[in-house]
Amino acid sequence: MATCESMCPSTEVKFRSRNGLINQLEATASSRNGPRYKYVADPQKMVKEYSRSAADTHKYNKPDLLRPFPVLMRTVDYLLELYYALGNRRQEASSNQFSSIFSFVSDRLRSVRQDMVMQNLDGKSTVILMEKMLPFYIETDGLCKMMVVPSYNPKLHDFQLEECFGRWHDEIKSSGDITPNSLISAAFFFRQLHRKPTLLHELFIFRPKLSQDTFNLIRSICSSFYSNNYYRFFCQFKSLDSLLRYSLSDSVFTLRQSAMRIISVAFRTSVARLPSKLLADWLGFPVNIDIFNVFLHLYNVIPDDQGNILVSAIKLVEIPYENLPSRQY
Amino acid sequence: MSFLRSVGDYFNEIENLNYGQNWKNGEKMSKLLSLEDEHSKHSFLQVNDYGEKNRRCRVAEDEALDEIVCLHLHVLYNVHEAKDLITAQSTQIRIIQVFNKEILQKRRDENWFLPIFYRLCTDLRWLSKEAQSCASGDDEGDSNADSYFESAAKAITECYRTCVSDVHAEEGRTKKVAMLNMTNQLFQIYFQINKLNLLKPLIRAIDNCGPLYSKFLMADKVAYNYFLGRKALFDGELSLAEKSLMYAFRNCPAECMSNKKKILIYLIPVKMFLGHMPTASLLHEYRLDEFQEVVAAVKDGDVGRVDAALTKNEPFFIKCGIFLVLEKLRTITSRTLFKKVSQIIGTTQIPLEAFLTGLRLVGVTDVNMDELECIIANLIAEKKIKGYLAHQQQKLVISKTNAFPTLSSVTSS
Amino acid sequence: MSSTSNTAAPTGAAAKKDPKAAVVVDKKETEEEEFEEFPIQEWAERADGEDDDVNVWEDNWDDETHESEFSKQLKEELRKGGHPIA
Repeated sequence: MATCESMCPSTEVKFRSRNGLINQLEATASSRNGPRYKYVADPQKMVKEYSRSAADTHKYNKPDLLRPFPVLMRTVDYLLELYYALGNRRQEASSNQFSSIFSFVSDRLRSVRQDMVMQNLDGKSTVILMEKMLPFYIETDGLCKMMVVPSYNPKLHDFQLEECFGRWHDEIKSSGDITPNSLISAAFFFRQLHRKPTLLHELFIFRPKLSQDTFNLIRSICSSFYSNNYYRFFCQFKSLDSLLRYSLSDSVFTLRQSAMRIISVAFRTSVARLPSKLLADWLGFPVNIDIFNVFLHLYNVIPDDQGNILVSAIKLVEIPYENLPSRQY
Repeated sequence: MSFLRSVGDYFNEIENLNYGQNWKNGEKMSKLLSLEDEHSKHSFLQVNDYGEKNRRCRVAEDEALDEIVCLHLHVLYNVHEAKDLITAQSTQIRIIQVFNKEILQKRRDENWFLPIFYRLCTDLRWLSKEAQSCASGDDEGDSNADSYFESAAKAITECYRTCVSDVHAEEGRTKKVAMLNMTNQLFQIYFQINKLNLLKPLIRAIDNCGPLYSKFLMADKVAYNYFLGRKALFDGELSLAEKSLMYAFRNCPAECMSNKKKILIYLIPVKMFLGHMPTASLLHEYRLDEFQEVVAAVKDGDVGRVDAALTKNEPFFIKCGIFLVLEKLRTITSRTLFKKVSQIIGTTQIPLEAFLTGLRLVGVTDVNMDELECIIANLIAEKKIKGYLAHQQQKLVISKTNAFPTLSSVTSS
Repeated sequence: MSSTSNTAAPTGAAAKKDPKAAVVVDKKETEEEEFEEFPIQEWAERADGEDDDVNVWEDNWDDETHESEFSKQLKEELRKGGHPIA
C-alpha cells in the first residue's frame, strides 16, 4: 500500500527543513543562493531522499511514506527534466552544475527504486520506470568516463546501473508479454561486452523479445568485438545512437588497446609509417586530431611533420582503466 | 528386486537393505528412492503426508531414513497424483536437507549411502526444471526466473560443504568422494542458469584434490571432463577444452552413443579451431551431418559457404551453445583462403587487391580495403600468418618459408 | 537429412532411431542438454592414444597436393583481375 501523493512525504519535508538537510536544487529561488542552513524548502522541488537505513523496513514501510506508481512516474519525469535541462550534456559535463544535478538525480532515483521494492511493485510498472531511468544512468556512465566529474563514484554508479538493469532484465525474462525498449536492450548487452565472453549465447536466449533489426545490430557489434575487428566495430560505432555509444565505453577502451597491439605487430618494419589520421579513423576517434594525438602520446608516439607515425616506435603499455584520453569519441 | 504389492512390502525392502549397509545396497536403495524407478508408478506409494499418519509402516531404528522415505512418498504423490511439481520440488529440497543434517553430518566413517544421495540430487534437478516450466507459464512474473534452480543449487552446495569437510574419515569411507558427483550436479544447474563463474572454486577443489581423484567413479570423471571442456570452450581456453573433451570422448563407452554425440558437438569446433578436421565418416557415424557443410567450407577457405552453412543450421548450433565458437571459424577460413591466394600468386609480396578478389569470389562483398587490412592484421598478430602489411604499397609481405603455418602448430587461439 | 532429434522429440524416438544405442532413453531425459547417466559406474580408463577410432581427425587437409575445383576457380578469378600468376 502506498499513499504518499507528493514527491516527498510531508514528514520528511519537515524533518529536513528543521535540520538544514535541504539540497540546493530543492530550495526556493530566493534562498538557494544563500548559505545552506538558510535554505527554504520549495514544496514543488522537494524529492524524497534515498534512505541508507533501509534495513529498518518497519520504519519506512508505512503507506504514507511510500509513493504509488503515478507519483513515482511524476517524480522520475521531474528529475529527468532537471537533468535534460542542462542542454548539451557533453559540453556541460565538466561543469559544477552538472556534477550537482548528476549527484542529486542519482540519489533521488535510487529512492524511487526503494519505494518500488518496498511496495512490491508489479513487473510491468517496474519495467516502465526502469526504462525511464536507465537512459540517464547509461548516459552519465559514458560521460563520466570521458571527463572529470567530481561527484562521480565509479563503484556506486556501476552498482546502480547493475541494480536497474538487473531488475529490468529479470522482469522481462520472467514475463511473457512485456516488449522491452530496443535501445535499452542493446545497451544492456553492450555494457557487458568487454567482460562476458558468453554474451552472444545470452543474446540468442533474449532474441524472441527483440526485433530483427535490433538483434542484428547487437549481434554485429558483438561479433566485431570478439573477433577484434576494430575497423568494422568502429565503423558501426560511429553511426550508433549516442546512448549506445555511451554503453560501449568500456568496450571501446578495451578494443583500442587490442587494436594498438595488433597494429604495432602487423604493420611493423624498421621504417614503416602510418598516417595518424588514418589510425584515428580506424579507432573511432573524433575528427579533432589533437584528441587522438593525446592518446598516441600514451604509447610513446608523436606524429612527424607529415602527420605520420613510426609503427616501430609504438610502445605497448597497460593503460589504466580510468584513463580519459583513451575513451574519447 | 522383488515385486512390490503394498506399502509394507516397500518398507520391508528398504529395511532389509538398510541392515547390510554397504555400497551395493546403497545403489539398490537409491533405486527405491528414485523418481524413475518402477516403484514410483504404484499408486499405493503415492501418498500425501505419509509420515503424519497414525498407523503406518516405519523403517525400524532409523528415524532419518524413515523421514526421508515418507517425504519421498509425498513427492511421488505430488508428481503423479496432485501434479503439483512446485510442491514436489520443495519437498525434494527438504529431503536433501534432512539427508545433509541427519546422515551426512552425523554418520562418521560411513559413505555407503552416497549413491542414494546422488540419485536424490539428480531427481532434484529434474524437478527444478519441471517446476521452472510450470512457474513461467504463470502470469505472476513475481518469482525470479531461475529461482527453482537457485534453490536446488543452494541445497546441493550445503551438502557439498559437508562432504568436503570430511577430513578425518577412515580410508575408503570418506564422504569426500562425493565431491566429483556433486560438482557435476552443480555444473548442470549452472549451465542451465548461465552462472558458470560460480564453478571456479569447485573446479579448483577438484584440481587440488590429489590422490582422492583416483577414488572417483569413471562415470563421474567422464561427465566432469565433458562439463569442464564445455566451460573451457565458452571461456576461450582451447587447450583445456581439447584435453577435457578428448578424455571424455575416449572414455565414454561406445554404447552410449547419445553421450558420445554430445561430447563431439563441443569437441568438433575445438578440434577444427586447432586445425584438425573431423572426417565425413565420423560425422556420419554420430549423426552430426549438420557439420558436414561447415567442415567442407572451412577446408576450402570458402568464407561465404561457412556463413551459409552456419545460417542453415543456426537453430541447432544455437541450442548447443556453439554458435559463437563457430563464428570464430570464419577467421581460420579466411586464413586458408588467403593462403591459397598467396600460393597462386606465388611471390612473397602479394597485392591486397588479390585477397579482395578471393573474398569476392566466395561471396563476401561488404569488406573494403581497410577492413581487409584489419582482418589480415589480426591473423598476423595471432601468428597465423608470418609476415607484415606494407600499407603504403597496399601489399602483404610474407616470409619465404612457412608463411602460413599449420594451425595445429600455432598456440595462440 | 540433417534433422536429428533436437527439438522436443517424442519419447523414446532417439533410442529407436539409433540401432547402436544399448541405453534406453529415459522418458524424462528427452532433453538434449542433459548428459545421460551411464548404465554402469566404473570401467577401465583409457590413456591418451588408446583411441577407439582411428582416422577420425584429418590433419593434411591443409597441404593441397592436388588442385580442387575451388582452387581452379580462384586461379581463374585472379588471372582475370590482372594478377600475374606463378
